[in-house]
Amino acid sequence: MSAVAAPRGGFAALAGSTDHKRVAVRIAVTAAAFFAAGGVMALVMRAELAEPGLQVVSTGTYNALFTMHGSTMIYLVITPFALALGLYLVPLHVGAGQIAGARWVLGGWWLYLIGGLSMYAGFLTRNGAAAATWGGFDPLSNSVNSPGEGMDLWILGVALATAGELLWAACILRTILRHRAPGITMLRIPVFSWAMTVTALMVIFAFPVLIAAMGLLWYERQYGGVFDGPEGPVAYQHLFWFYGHPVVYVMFFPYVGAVAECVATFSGRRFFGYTAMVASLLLFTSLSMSVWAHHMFTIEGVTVKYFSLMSIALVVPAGIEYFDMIATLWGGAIRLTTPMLFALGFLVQFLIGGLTGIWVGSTVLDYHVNNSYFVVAHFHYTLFAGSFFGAMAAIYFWWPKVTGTLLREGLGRLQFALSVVGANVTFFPMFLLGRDGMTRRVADYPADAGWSTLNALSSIGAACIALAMLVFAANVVVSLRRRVPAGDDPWGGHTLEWATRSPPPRGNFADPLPAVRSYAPLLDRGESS
Amino acid sequence: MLLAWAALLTLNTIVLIALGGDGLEVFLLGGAAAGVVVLAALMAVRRDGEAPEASPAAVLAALAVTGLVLGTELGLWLVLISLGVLALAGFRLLREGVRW
Repeated sequence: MSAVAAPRGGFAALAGSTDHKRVAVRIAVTAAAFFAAGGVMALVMRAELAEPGLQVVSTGTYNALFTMHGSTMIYLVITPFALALGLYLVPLHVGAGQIAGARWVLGGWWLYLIGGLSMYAGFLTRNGAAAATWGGFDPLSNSVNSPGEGMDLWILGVALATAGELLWAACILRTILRHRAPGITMLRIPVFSWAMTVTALMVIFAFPVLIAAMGLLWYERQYGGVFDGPEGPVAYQHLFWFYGHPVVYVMFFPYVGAVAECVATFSGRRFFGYTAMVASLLLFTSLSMSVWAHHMFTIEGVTVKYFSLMSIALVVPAGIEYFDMIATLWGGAIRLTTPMLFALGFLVQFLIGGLTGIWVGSTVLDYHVNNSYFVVAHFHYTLFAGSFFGAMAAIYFWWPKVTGTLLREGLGRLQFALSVVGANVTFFPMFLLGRDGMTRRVADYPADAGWSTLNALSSIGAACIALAMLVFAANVVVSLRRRVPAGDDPWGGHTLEWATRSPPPRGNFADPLPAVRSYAPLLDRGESS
Repeated sequence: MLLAWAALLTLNTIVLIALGGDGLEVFLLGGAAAGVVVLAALMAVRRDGEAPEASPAAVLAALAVTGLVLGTELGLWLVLISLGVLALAGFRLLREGVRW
């Protein structure tokens, strides 16, 4: 892919390029490879659950599969891809020629890549890959219950990958705060860059806690004495969820920002309520840093009143953001392009994830659905039916800028239709299964429980999602082999990246920047001319 | 902006204390609030240097760090090699003219 001009000097220079666009594309490609691996694991799990009994894998292998599937998607796919969007776009949005701390960004990719490979290297060890959930919860993950090198490699891999992501976030935040071009104030940066600002803040304050938790867990496994006693596992959960809840929003806000840009562009209107959106993002992130223990409602000693209050309060900023999006659409000249379809799909389907979040945020209701498939359905509606759709909107929207070519609309629409059907057929039955008492993380269930039909339906949906991804892969291949030049601004975009070439040159802007008087400078230019 | 965010986190911490939050809960949230103030100070003070077009030294440094971390599992040999690579990376970073 000739996404950006190659640096001079052969392989060493290529592998060591400090161009933020090149590194971001590399992160995205790496995340796509991990996504394929995580997706295959999901398909194997759904094949196992399609009917009662053990047909495909053993329970031990199933434990490793759901652990590695969750770990892959969160540590190695959705989070890195979200940050890669920021690494590529933020310098363009703020009129900077380079990202702050370009060496750190480059080094971060190597930490992420080798960290991810280390996690997977567990499959090559005698006891197999880690099988103690994506949270690595102690005492399940201690040396007695999870012996072998696979768990150790997982711990070290998670720490490395997370450290890489931390470096990227610090560089994104630094770029926004210190490298804006003259005239671009904080209230003139696009909504997407504001979303990346708050995302970076959460990464900077939550991710070091996970790295510390992984260090302590590794020490516990080697020498013991860290999480001993009845308080130990609770302390681990506090440390883990202090990362584990904010990361949900790290996997959400960048896609909200991308969807906001799509909605404004394809409605032909300025984004409605910009200032309210910025305020809601700041409020949302401060609340999302304060709700981690709602994952621990059923554990003795947690300040349930506080965490329930804060969790329910999240609906206020979320409501503002939805209101702003709908108000932008209202009366707009809407163009239903593929990125817009995915953006609208994100808004509708994330709403289901969000509304069921009120359910699990309520202590009383959470006691009923705790550890059930209801929770699996809830977070897959936020992360797959939500964030994945936001990611696809972003890919279809910015693909022309990154590659200089257009993805095919027909294949895009087909992928969208298959994705909508697949996501809902896969995940909606899980709400019903959870309500009826099916627990999560099981490879088998009783034949007389009445869950067979819903599980079979869910597995058919997973196959439909896989088909949608094959269509996307075909679209990528066709787009790159039979190139249709996109031009610099195929969509009539509002923000600065559309004022430069596709793909942008090193240094980002060959021509002088247009005047920036608001968060939609190209729309201003069109209106004034 | 950072100070506004710190204020919001501080407010949340106060509510947590008022509703009976325990030591670790208050430490984590309050620590984050205090950390934002430190971050704001760092963002205001430090300056950035220009990055070269490519930085093999940064790659070497990252590989050395991963070697040091994975060496805890794979053996002392990897730790020792990584320390050597880290020293080489430091030397090359100085030659690239990096500003610490």
